[in-house]
Amino acid sequence: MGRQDVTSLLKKAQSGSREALDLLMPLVYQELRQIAQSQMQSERMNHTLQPTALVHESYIRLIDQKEVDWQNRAHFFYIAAEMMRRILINHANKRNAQKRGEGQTLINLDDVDSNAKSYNPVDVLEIDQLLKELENLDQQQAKIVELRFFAGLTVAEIASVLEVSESTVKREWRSAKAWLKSKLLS
Amino acid sequence: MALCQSLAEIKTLELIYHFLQMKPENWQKIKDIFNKAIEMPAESRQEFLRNSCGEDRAMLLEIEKMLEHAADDDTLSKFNFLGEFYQSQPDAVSEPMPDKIGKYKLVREIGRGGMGVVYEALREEKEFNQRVALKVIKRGMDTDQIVKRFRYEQKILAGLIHTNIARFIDGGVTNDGLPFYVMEYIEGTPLDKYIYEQNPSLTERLKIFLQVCSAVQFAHRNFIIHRDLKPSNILVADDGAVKLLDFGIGKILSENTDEQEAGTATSMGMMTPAYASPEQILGKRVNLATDIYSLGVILYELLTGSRPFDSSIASNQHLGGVNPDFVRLICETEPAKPSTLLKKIQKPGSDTKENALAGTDEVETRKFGKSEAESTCRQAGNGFNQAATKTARPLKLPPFSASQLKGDLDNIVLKSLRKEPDNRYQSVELFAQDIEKYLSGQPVSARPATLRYRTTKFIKRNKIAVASAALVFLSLIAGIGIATWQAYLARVEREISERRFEDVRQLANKIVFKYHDAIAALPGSTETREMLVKDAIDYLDRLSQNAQDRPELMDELALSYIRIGNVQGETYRANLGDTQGATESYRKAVDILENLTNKYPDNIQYKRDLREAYRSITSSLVRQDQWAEAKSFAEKHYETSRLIINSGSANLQDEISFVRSYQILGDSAEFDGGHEEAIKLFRQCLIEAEKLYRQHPQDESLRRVYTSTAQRLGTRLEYQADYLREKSEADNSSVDEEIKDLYLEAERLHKLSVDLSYDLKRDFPNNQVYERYIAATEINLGTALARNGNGNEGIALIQKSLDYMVNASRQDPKNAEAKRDIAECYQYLAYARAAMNNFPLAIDANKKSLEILEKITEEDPTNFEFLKQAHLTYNNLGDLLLKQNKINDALIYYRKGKTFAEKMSEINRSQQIRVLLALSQEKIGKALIALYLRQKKAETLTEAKSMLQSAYELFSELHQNNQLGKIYHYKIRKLEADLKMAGGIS
Repeated sequence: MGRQDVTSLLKKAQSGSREALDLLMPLVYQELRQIAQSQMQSERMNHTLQPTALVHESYIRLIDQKEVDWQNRAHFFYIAAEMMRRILINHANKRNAQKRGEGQTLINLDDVDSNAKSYNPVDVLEIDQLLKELENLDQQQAKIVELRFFAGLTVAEIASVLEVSESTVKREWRSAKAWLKSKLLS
Repeated sequence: MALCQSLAEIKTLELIYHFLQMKPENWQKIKDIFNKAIEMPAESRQEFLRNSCGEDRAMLLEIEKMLEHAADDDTLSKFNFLGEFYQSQPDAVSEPMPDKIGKYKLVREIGRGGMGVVYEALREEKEFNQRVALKVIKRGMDTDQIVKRFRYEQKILAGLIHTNIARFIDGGVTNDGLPFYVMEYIEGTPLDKYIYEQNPSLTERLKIFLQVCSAVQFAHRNFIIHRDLKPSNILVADDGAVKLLDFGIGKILSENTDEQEAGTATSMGMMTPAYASPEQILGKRVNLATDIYSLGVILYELLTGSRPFDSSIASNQHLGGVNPDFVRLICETEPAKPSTLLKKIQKPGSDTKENALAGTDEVETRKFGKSEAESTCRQAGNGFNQAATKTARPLKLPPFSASQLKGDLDNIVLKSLRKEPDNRYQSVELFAQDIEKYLSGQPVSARPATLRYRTTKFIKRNKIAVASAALVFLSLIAGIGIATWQAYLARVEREISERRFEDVRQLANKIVFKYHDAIAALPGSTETREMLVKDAIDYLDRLSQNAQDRPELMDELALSYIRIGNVQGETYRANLGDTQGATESYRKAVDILENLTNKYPDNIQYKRDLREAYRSITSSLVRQDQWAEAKSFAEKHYETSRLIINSGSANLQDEISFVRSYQILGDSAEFDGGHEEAIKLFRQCLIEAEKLYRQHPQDESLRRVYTSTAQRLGTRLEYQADYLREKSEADNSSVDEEIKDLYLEAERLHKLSVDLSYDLKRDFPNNQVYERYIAATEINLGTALARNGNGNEGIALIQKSLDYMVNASRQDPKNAEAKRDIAECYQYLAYARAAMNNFPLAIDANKKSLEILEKITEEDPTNFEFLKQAHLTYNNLGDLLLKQNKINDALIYYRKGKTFAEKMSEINRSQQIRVLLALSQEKIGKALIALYLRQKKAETLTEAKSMLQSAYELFSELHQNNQLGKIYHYKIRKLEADLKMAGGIS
């Protein structure tokens, strides 16, 4: 499937086509996984791969940018964030299933806005669990977290994806963050 | 009592709260209150919260916790994923475990990580089954190289038998072409987990550490560096016995390919940032001190439960590189004293680690504790487990107090963690000794860091390191200069005893010659090269003692001596100018080969090699003005060459060598009141060369001999003409016709060498050296043309060569030799201009030459070739100025020349150099006399006399010691006359 096709799927999905969305999601998933793997092969170990970077790369690869507007773009990231999360969860589950000797998938919660001083490795499964909990409490807020964590969208981008104001995103993000941390670190 | 109750109450509430699950509407309320509270100043919050939450204690608790975490500066805005995660992506995950790898039957998978997979396996023998751990290295690493290195290291690793080291059993390649290795299977717990679970006492911890030291010490004695020491590579068995995993593997997996060996990069892949030393982080070569540093980190962790630095930022953010912040942290920041840190952690009230460490951003926040989900790690090993610990584990405080660490243990740990490898313990033994001393209550050797130890020095050094483009050079110093090189030498000896000559030979060539060539062109590398050469000679000497009964190895050793001699003294190449040392090396080669040819008179190859040794030693002796000996070796060369062509199995190259033997004889013919002898021999050589050339017009080396002989003969004819002129000035004889003929013949010969060079270039267009042939011969031809009245044509040729040299230098701007070539072109330009009586332009050209020479001698003040050339050019320039009657200007340059001569004779007392000094004195003396005749100042005459007297004495002394050739007879006579004249003036 060429970029043109993927782009038109994205547009259809955006305008509400469930069918297009169902077709699109596995494409994004595969692409993300592929990029992750190819990066892993070309890089030496110990190098950090950023989901944000992966998501952006998948966007560039899959979507014909001339054909889309910012809403399409935002929608793509909306999907990609979810896919990225799934990839990570699947992987972590697999690893746990292996009863591996050393730890679980580690994620560093690290700050993009301020130069964070503490870096705490966090279990991706734990994050997922908490996100699920949050989804039950506040779907939109959970989505904000997901977009921020797994696709690295900026506040402005999230605001446009979710069609809310930037100040709402900021506020929701702040409380979600505080809540997550209180759960993770206690 | 009241407090206890409320704590219990809170706990219960929390539990209930959790069971009840929060409802969305509650959450909205919580968010609301939180958002309002966070905008408030802290002091009014408490009241606001109480009012807002009312009786809902659970809600209050929830919000309070959120506020607490929101106050934290950092945010959860972005995830970074350890690369390891992706590296065990599905292709590896989904692959089923093979039944067998090599002769090993796989039982189960133990672990998996960035480097590959670990299996428990069985080696099935008739009598018994051996239980092993088998590790398969994942694809993507340089498989071929790894396999090759395994093969090389296998024996050494297999010989590493020690109670505390997991034995290396085997290495090989799977059917899929992946490298794997096999180790003894160890039942045990990784050190970090062990410490967390057992929480042993201080003494117990130190005793465990001593076991680790003992293993590392043993490996170091066998010249094996671990490179990746960390708690997960250390297993503790139930009985408390310690086993180290993966010794020697780090080297195999991280070394670059042979081609890159002299390069700078040490693969980042094979270290664990948390335990890596500054030199590893900087990608420098590792040595024994690297392991000592990692041991230091481990000890730090054993004593405090934390690592000295936060390694979680090691590879964050910077895809494809190390985080510069982390580099700074490791290379610049001093770790906190273990006692200070432990005190902070143990401070009452700071019951969680996070609190304890708040504000110390240089302190690692991870702990030993691991998730319960983890199974016991067995044999996870190198690279298979990244620093993988989980945050939310309660801290277990060590069962000892911070004050117990204060003093000795602080000092010991910090000494092992010094940034500069040299400032750490010089050996694991000394490290362990200090701990033993501590345990037995004796004073330890480690002292607190003084300012001297502080990192500034290290940083300064490394800044220079980066600034200087000579990276190869640096890695050489870092890598071979210290322990590694010593280890190499020691290994060499052991290899000899094992008769593994192949490896030894390779080692020799790689280390000595490749590295030398790599650094030779760099300015300022003379000292290092000297060191390298010295080590190389030691090494060859040792080899030759051990190889007496192996003629083919002795033969090869002789060739190595020749090569090292070339490095020491070969002219027109970046060299050490150590002709005497070169001669000694050549002499060793000669001795070996004379021995061999006597023992094996029928072996023609030994004779051929001997012939080359004779050739080398002759030219080296000539450069030392050791004419008599040079001549005797030249005759031996001739004799040996003759024997070879008469042996019946001679080839064309042997015939060419025979022709060349005339050239060598000519080179060794001493100036003997003229150059007749040399000229005669060169003529003979030219005739023979031409004869052979007619039969074999295509042979490259023959054509080279032919070309160089023509050039030599031409040059000697010019010398002869110069000599005749100088002599005629002294005795007023008329030799103008003779001189003219000589110059004309020289021109014809130079023309021939130019033509031959062009032919060579045409037929071998890929060989760059012929471009240089053309440039060099055209300079000679150009100068000859200028002398013979075709000035413009001559200048054009020299200019062309000059352009070539300038261009060559531009291609290789770091090469000081190329710059020297340009300077030499200007010098010839000056000769030509002077021959055309255009003194101002000649002076100009010499000044340009000096501009370059002054710069390169400044950069490399011990390079004698440069110094000598600068000296010569100062004198030439002085001569020209004197001719222009610019006596004072001339004196300035003569004096500069003298300074250079003095500089050289400070370093080297050889007669060659002292002759240069005498020449300077003579020239200054004569110029001063001319000045006196003009100005009549008494002090001028006094100085003139003293200069001439010194020159006279120096020449006479050298002559008496028989160190000087006859060439200076007439010099002495002239100086006598000059002195007499000067005496007469006064």
